[in-house]
Amino acid sequence: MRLRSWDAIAGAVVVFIILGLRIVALMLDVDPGAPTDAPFLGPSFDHWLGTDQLGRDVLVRMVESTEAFTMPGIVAVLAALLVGVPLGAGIGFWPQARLAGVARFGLTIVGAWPRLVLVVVVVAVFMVSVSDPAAWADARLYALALLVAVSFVPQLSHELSEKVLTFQREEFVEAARAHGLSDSRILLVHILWANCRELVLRQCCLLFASFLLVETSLSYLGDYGVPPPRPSWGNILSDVRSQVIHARSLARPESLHPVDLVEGLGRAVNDGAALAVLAPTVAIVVSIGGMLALARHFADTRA
Amino acid sequence: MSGVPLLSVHNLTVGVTDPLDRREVLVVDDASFNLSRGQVVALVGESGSGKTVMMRAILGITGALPGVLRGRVTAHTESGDVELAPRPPYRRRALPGLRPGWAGYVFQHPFEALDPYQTVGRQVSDSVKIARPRATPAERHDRALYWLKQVALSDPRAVATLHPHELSGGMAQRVAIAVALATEPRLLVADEPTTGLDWSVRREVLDLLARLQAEQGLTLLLITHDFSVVRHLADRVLVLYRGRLVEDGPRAAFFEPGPGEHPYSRELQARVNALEEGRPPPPSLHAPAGGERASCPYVHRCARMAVAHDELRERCYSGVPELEVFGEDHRAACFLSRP
Amino acid sequence: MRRSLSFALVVLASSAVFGAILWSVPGAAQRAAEHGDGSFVAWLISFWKGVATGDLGRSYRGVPVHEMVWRGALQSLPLISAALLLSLSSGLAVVLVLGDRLGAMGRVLRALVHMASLCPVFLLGYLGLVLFAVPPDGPWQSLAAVVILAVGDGMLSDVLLGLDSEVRRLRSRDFVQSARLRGTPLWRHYGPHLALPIAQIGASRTAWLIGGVLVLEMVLGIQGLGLIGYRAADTADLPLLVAITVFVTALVAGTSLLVDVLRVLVDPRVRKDRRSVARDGR
Repeated sequence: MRLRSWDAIAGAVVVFIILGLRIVALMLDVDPGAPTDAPFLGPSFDHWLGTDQLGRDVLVRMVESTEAFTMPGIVAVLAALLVGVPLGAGIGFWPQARLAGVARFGLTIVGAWPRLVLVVVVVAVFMVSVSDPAAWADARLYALALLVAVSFVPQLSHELSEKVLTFQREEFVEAARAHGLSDSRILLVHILWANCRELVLRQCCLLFASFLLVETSLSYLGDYGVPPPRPSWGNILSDVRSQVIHARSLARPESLHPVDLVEGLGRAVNDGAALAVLAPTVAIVVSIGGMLALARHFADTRA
Repeated sequence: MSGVPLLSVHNLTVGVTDPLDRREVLVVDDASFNLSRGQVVALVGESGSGKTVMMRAILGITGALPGVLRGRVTAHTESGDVELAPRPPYRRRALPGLRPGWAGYVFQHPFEALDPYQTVGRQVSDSVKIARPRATPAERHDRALYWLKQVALSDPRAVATLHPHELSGGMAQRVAIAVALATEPRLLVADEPTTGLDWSVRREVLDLLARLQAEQGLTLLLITHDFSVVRHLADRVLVLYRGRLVEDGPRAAFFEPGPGEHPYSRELQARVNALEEGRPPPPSLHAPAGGERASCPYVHRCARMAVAHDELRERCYSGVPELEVFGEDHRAACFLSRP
Repeated sequence: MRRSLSFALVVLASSAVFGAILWSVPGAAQRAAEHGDGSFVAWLISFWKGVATGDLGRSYRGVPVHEMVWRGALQSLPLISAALLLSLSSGLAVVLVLGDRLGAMGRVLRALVHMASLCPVFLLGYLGLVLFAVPPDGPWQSLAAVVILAVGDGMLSDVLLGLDSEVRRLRSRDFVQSARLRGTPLWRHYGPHLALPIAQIGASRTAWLIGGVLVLEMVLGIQGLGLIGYRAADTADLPLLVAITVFVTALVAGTSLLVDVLRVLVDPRVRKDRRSVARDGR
């Protein structure tokens, strides 16, 4: 793997930052929900990113938000791998088998469902039967993770099976068989580990990015993501929304003159509400971008 | 016999630059030769020697193949000289500055050369339109049928309505030739034009090409493995070995052993003769891949080397031979050739 | 045609699976019983009978289901198709026209496009509301919605990448090179050969797009299928929910079907029988 690639660097940086923030959050003792009396402060030494509408420290909330997607995201990736890799490898290696046909059919059906629709429908319906939604937040997040994983499996299996299929016809497969590597599973190790590693890694990155997208979207929308007061980048945005829309014009320039834009941006950065919008936006864009860059890095090594 | 020059190639180097480590992988190394009007030139060499890549690079139709790294290619037309290379990376037209259809190319794989979604008639008509832009559709259609007849396809009318996947290999090959000829080019490069044709059809196609050359001064460059083609049609022979032009001379000089001949030409002919006469071909030492530019590229297979003195062999290991002139219009690149 | 059979199968199976999921929720069965449906299978049968007759029953809130689906579709479908069109055409424009020109500026532009594209749709909608004061209804809102859908959630990026690789592949083919050399019109080759890949890219993006529509409708307050479906999910409104999910699934599967139909129309190799003229023209 070429370390000179910008994509790899960008992706690695983002991953380290997220993990770092997660560790910091675990060690931190500050309560993200503790309101102070100072809503919408600008950045200061006490509050590096200012405060939100309830006076809570924005930076702390931002860092704590990583809890919402890091672990569940990893779970999603593992779940997808557990199901998708055997399926994809199996279909690719024994494409004629009856089971392969059945599996392919099942995957086509699952693959036809829009991801968010699947997630919302399933989660929503289970939530109806529950009396206190907030208490189930953790379970919900992991259910979300599993659902996103399920919706991702068709894509993963399909790509993997296509790749394995091309290797089937390669000579070294015949040679290995002739050598007496009788158990096809050993062949699978050769093919999968040696050649499909990058494809799988790429799909993992895409899946994580996808999960991040789903989690932030649903947290923003309200009921199916992370419930307030627990922070998530999505619900930070939605918390601030009404204030921002009705009471302030964020960096809305009166004119498009560059000086005015910069001025407006300067004003915005000093405004707590603006920061509460900018920070999650930047965080989301950077995180998803980083994961996609990493995915692109794993894709580029095909000649 | 040099006549009116048509195309000059100077120090052409074709290859790719590896974007990561900036190394160049050369497919054609410093080739220089000239084509004259009305000449029939055969370009020979084994598979992988770079014949196709070189000609496609010269004509600007490399596609996914390696492109021109260095060198100059000049086309000489009635209205002046046109520089064909170096040229900017991607242009719509392959040879801007020349009239469309000035050069024709018959691709190696006929089914790839034809658009599977269009009928044969349509594809030939498109070429005809280039040569005769003011013809009416009916005239174009007639002319298309004319060309299909010229390439020895019986029932051109029926063939014109077919799509390429409905043709046999030999028919597709001939259609591809018709498509290239219908633009009435000045220069036609044919890449293995006789592969897949049975001997009688091959005869007809070669006769057609010979006729066109005689009647219209069509310049032909034939990339071929088929020495009978070389024997019957070619005026000159260019020999390419692993990207280097090692011999360039008249047909007679190529076939007769003589001082200016390159040992590789000898080897090629020995193989063909052996195959034709049913003998086993002489054993070849496989040259290791990888560009050793410090010695003659043919060093590992050279029969001449085997019988040369040690001091002479030193020379072969220590430098890359350039084309030297031997006799009239005949060049070869070998340290061990003595006039 | 085999394809339409598989299409029907997919939709049927989906309805069964979705129905089973929804049914399995504790409490849902009871509510269904309250409203007059018996067992799961009976309900499933009556559902499909309803589809055939156009009467999908009533939602648990009383309004006839097909009316709600229709109303929602009227809002959502134009958005989806416009977004698909915009995405594909702008992607084509970028790949074909801009191509490798514009040098450094082009690369910056592309980087910006990719950055905008990786934003989740809800974020773009949010920024639209906050930064650009997108109005609560009217043509500007629809325009903004279409642009956001065409770009966000990675939509435009994927379209660009897919189109780029298709065009590159096409350009390297011999018959395109032949046309370049002869000077014959290139678009005659590009058009038919790109039609199918473009349709394929569009079809594969439809499912993704529907997810985006769901979110965007919530953000902007558009009364489309997404919003209605969300509310139905909220209240476990079985008939409406199943109807919407099946409709959506049918939509996605339908686009694949359309692509297969297109392939038959465009590719003569599929159209004609493989009757190669074997006699070698003597």
